[in-house]
Amino acid sequence: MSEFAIKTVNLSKKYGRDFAVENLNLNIRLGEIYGFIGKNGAGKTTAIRMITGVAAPSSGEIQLFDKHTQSEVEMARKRIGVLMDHPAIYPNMTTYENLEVNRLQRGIPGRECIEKVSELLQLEEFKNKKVKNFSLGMKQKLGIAIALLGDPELLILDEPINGLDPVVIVEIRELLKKLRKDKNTTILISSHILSELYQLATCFGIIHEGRLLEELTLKELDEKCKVSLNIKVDDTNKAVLILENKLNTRNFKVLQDNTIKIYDYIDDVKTVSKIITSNGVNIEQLVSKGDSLEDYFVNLIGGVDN
Amino acid sequence: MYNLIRTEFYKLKRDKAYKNILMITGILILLCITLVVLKSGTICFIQLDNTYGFIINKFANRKNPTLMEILNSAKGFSVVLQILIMFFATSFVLNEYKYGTFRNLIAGGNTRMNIYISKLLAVSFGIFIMNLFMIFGSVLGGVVFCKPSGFLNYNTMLEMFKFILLSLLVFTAMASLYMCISIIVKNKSIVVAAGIIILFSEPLVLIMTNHTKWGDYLPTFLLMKICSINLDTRMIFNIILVCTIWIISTCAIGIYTFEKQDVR
Repeated sequence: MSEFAIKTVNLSKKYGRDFAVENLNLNIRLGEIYGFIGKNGAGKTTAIRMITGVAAPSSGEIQLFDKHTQSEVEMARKRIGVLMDHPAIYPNMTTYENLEVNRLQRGIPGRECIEKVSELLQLEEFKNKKVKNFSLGMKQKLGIAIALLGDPELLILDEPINGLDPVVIVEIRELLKKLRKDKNTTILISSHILSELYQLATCFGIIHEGRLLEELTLKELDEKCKVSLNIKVDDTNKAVLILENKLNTRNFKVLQDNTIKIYDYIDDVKTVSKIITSNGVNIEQLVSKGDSLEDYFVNLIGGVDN
Repeated sequence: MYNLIRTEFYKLKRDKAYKNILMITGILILLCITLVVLKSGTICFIQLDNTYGFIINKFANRKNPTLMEILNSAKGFSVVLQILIMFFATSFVLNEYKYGTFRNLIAGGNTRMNIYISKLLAVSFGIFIMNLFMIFGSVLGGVVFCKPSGFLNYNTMLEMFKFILLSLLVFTAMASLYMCISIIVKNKSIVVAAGIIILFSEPLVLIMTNHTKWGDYLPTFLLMKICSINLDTRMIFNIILVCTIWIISTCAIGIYTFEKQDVR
């Protein structure tokens, strides 16, 4: 029984002298919804392209469902549904024809699967409409429908909610959650809309400049994003010493912009401010705040400027 | 592989460029019959030493054409068919890049070699239908409108199938070359421009440099021979051998390039 749906070992992709992806070690367990986070050009799409076989890695290894060899990995790809960048569809064909082409290519028996995904994504009324007349959102829906054909064990979705309206985004989110719950489908999803990912993913991978900075579960993320006292002072070094010596806490961190996040004394703001000011440090700002995934990501990659 | 071939045939059936090309073939059939009916003069696109070339509407007795002569006239339209095939083969490959649909095929766990070969098979089948349509359409049209002497007998049928199969081989060699260039260049305008240069410079260069013997190794020359000469067994064998080498070598280069490519 395989444990991982996707595992990459030191996966790298080089264009000229620059690494688009460098020594990427992804570990995506079966049944997880893995949120792949990174800013534009971080290497998310390149990594996904290598995993799906569209781009060849410069070095490193890709394992799908614990299969190692080239031929085994190619066979394992038959168990994957993919939506990359913009949906890959034939504009001169109708919705039905596009689904049929993909059904034939994957060798899925019977046409029931087409009816099923059309119903799931409410594409039935557009069944006989040519795709070239579709809006971006409709094309994206069709792309998702193609990825879902034949109930794949692993879904790889690169920016799937681009161009979708809020109602459809909610529908897609619920659909993906249902797939995981009912069929234990593993999902790798990348998105810029971090709030959306936070509501969906059970595990996160943060990539920056081609390198995987961190892999963490939702629980670990929640732990890291818990409520803290954010203090800005005129002398950060001195304040840190005060926290350690007078307040006896090491449960804090200093961010790039010199904000100190204290995870203790959440309910005792008065004591904290009193001790800091009585030791000759002026407080410029003091707020009690919990991090969002967005804040966490921004801090991890080194602030907004980065 | 079986699934891929089915997919490619499904796409072929719905390919807009292919439908347009079949329509143009229909127009060529009409043109062929009209020229016979109007008793127009002979048209030669390329003719070498008065022995072979693309010759249309050549009749011993213009008032009473034979069915075989109408068939030969239809064969002369191969000069246009080879241009249509260039557009068809390039668009059939390059549209996959344009729409990003190669990604679906690769991500679906299909090997690139299988994808390439299934595409070539579909293109070849498309050419077969087009060729069949051109030849049978012209001959049947000729029977109906021109009332030629000599009915659709065994010899005519044999000649038709011999031409269809041999020209299919030559056209497939050409299509394979265009597919190979398409995979390397990935730009429709450049591929079509290169194709037209190859098509027209090939005879010109060989004639001007007096190296027409080399034509035995080039698809356009082989097509001219098929269109205008009664081929003996040695010539047929030569055509089969040369075209097979063209197909295998262009496929090998095309597949090698495709294997190394990052598809977008």
